[in-house]
Amino acid sequence: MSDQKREEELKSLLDAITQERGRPIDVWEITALLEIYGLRDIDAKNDWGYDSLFDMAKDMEPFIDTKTYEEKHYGIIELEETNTLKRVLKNYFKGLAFSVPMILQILMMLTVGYAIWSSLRYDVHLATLITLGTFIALIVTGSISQAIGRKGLYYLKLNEFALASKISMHIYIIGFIIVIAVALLLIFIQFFFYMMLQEDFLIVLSFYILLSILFLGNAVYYMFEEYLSVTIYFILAMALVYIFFSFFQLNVMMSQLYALAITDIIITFMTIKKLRDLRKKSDLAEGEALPKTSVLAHSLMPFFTYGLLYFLLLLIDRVIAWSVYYEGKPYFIWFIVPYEVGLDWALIALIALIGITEVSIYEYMYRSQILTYKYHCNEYKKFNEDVYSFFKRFNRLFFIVSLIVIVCVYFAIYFLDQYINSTMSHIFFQPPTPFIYWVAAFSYVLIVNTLMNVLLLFSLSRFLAPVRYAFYAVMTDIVVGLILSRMLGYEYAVFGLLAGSLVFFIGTARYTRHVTKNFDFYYYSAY
Amino acid sequence: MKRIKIVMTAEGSYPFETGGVSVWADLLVHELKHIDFSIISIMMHPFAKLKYELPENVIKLHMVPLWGSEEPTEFIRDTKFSDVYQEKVMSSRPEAPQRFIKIMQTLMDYFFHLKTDMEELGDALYEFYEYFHEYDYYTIFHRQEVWEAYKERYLYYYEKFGGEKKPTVFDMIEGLRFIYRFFISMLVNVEPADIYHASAASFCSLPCIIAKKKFGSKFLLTEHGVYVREQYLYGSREKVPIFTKQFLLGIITTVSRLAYHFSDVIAPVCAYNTRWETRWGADENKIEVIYNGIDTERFKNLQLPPNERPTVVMVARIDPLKDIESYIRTCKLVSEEIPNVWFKLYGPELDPKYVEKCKSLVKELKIEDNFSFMGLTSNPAEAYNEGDVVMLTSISEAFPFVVIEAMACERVVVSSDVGGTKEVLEGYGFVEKPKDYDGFARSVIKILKDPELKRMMGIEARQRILNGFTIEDMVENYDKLYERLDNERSEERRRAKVLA
Repeated sequence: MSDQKREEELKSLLDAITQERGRPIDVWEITALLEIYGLRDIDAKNDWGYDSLFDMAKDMEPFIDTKTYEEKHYGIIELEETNTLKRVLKNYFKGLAFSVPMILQILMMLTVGYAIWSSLRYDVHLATLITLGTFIALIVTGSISQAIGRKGLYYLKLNEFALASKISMHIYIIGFIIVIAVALLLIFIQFFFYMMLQEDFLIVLSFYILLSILFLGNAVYYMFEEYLSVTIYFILAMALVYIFFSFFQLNVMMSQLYALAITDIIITFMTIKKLRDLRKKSDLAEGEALPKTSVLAHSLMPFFTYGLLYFLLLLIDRVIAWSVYYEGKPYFIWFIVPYEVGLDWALIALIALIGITEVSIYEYMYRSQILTYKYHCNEYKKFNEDVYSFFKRFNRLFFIVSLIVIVCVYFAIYFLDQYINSTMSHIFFQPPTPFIYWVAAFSYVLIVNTLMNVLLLFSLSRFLAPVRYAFYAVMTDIVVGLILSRMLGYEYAVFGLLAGSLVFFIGTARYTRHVTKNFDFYYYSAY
Repeated sequence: MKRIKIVMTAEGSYPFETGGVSVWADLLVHELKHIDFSIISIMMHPFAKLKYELPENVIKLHMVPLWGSEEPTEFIRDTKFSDVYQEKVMSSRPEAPQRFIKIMQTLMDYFFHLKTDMEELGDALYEFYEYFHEYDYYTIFHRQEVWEAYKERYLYYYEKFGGEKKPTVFDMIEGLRFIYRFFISMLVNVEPADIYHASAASFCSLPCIIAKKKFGSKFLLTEHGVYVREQYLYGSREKVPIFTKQFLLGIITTVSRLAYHFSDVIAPVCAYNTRWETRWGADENKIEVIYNGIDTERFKNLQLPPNERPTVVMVARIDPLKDIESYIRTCKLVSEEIPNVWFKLYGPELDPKYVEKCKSLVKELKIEDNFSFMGLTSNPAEAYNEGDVVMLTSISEAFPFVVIEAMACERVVVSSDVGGTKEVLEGYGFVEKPKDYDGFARSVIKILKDPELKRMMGIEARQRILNGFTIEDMVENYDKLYERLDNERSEERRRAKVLA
């Protein structure tokens, strides 16, 4: 065989053995490929004149680069939508889906004047009691929801359905126990210190327990990313309130309590069923070993604490405002309508912006994954600069959009007030509500931006920094809110929210800036 | 009488996964009741169920999951979390990673093939083990100093020794992640034992090397396939980015070399494996082939009623490596000579694309009446007995059980010349060049047309198995080897005492 002919044949053999395979790196890989092509040392000898396949592979190695090979790019999200604008909008609405139950409640309030735990018909007395119950429910279950979301989702993503089921059920039950424990604590305090009238206490307690059960069920559905189911439960509860109120002639509060009780029974039953069914979902999931309790507690503590602090930050300024002393106040906490209305309208801005968090995390992860393939290892500084530049651009854009949103919400209320005779919009324009709105809306913009950063940090397995800054934020909120509200008036409690949000924002933004500037390290260590 | 204590180490197999290695390990621990076994099982994740019932002489089972745990040590060690927490606090101190950085850079020099001194590497590995019994693994690997030091070394290598093409940031990141993941196998608490027995020259060999250094335990290495070769093929099949593959194989080949270097005896399941082993540094003098054995009471001539049609059987999963197409083409050729011949294929359909290809080929060759896909069988002994001839057309094997099981059933086997098949089949069946369906067909026709030859060869085939390939043979070989290694160890200790 002439040298040229042999060369050609070796080339075509290399081509044949590397069909649908990656680029071989050396003679060892070529030898292995020759072997599984069905060739033996004896064939190398008889047909090709080599002592062994290893020797033959040596002569084939120089031809490796005479063809191109396919390479898999691991770890890159497969884009469902390649058009950036469409993708951004899709993710925005996905993020917004989280808030749909809230939006529905607001719509119900605007149309029929009441919703699942709010009503325009309530006097200040009742509003205080129900809001207190709601706040306690949000703070108590916020932490559990974070824990269920984190751990359940962790196993779901591993397709370990049995473990996802076990652990979610475990934390769900712990959630129930905590709800009951807090209820017992409240009863204990009421029994010994007689904080409020028994019937008032009963209203607080009822709303707290019923809403907590609803929120716990929601947490499981959020873990499955079944936003539609959560919405359906809210629609069910709203429909039941409407039925009890309109057809059974019950008052709003009793209608809400009955509706919540029925929804709770259904959601609890369905949640347990859902978690049990999850176990049967796959034969491949064997689900034997749950983590040790101590390890579990250690790994969940940041999420648990973060959930608690986050809701505290969102709510504590109201408690501070409502606890400002004035003559004739029945309890030390008393609902202040102008303050609440200001915050509620600002909440619309928060809802409108929350969808952006989903966009941010998706774009960050997708772009950073692509960039890891774009830059050579010695260009890691450029890689970091690219990620940092995206961080800056995204934040800049976010703040522009945010300012537009809060101005739009303001004018939406203005037009509502001008053209529709709405009680809520009338109250809005009475001082100091607009002032509260602007400060709270700006605070919420900061909080949403912080949430974006926190999501990125969580996805990079950096859990402690967000918790630390959330703690500083709550402390700042309390201190600033208390001082200003006591010195200048209840409405200045909103500066507590602003100061806390600012601390939260600055802390996480600075840390995220540091992370993006050293992204190669943080991306590596995101396991 | 002293009971020998053996720590058997496995990777992705016994007792959490089924398969050839697991069957082998299960046989050994069940049959050698006079030996105490501990098992170190390196596994993908900690959620697997036990697939085998462990006998009483298995005194401890260490799970070593590489993925799927919040804390790498949580399933591996019995330490309290408070101790782990203390380690975490200690590992957060500024000076903590310095010692590790030196170890890591030494290891990297070997992964890049800049160094080849296995003794130095063994020392570095031992230091790695000791270090991570003091410091927390997760915390140290998450220290930025470690990343920076790794990066510096990585960039230095490609700057100085790499070609024009450079790895990407992805390749560089994956490299340290690989080190983190695979060396979790070093976190196990290595316990004193007379012998450490690894079932592959892979990461499950690492505890064996540590035990050898720490307690002077003997290190026996059994290779069923050749780990290095398998990993090359994995990287090739999965189209892993080239520099990622290069780094990954740098780690794997280093570990295999190290295992060959430190093992006292290398016991491959067939001589064929030694082609690769010796080229990767295994000392020929250490190699002692021990063939796998089978249960000859289960695999025997079941005296089934004679077939109405001449029948050929193959028991193999439907996978390109089994070259089912050659089996189908053989059927076509045989059916032209023997029109009523029936080729049966028993095996699971794991690769739908390939299954479809095979079914289309059957249609294309118009042999639907001669060829049947029988699905997975739970009774391979009966399946072999249904055949007048048993075939194996694989293009890649180590030492296939199918061949010896069929031979034990007094069946004439026609097999491709892969792995160690020839070592048992030559002279007792037919060995053909892989993919040579003309050759396969000629042999099959020859047997089917000559019942007396078939009968005689069948009897001789079983005799061949009875003389060296039974469970008893395999167990006895290991038992003797364990005893010898134990004696050697006792002798070494006695000598060391005298010298001391």
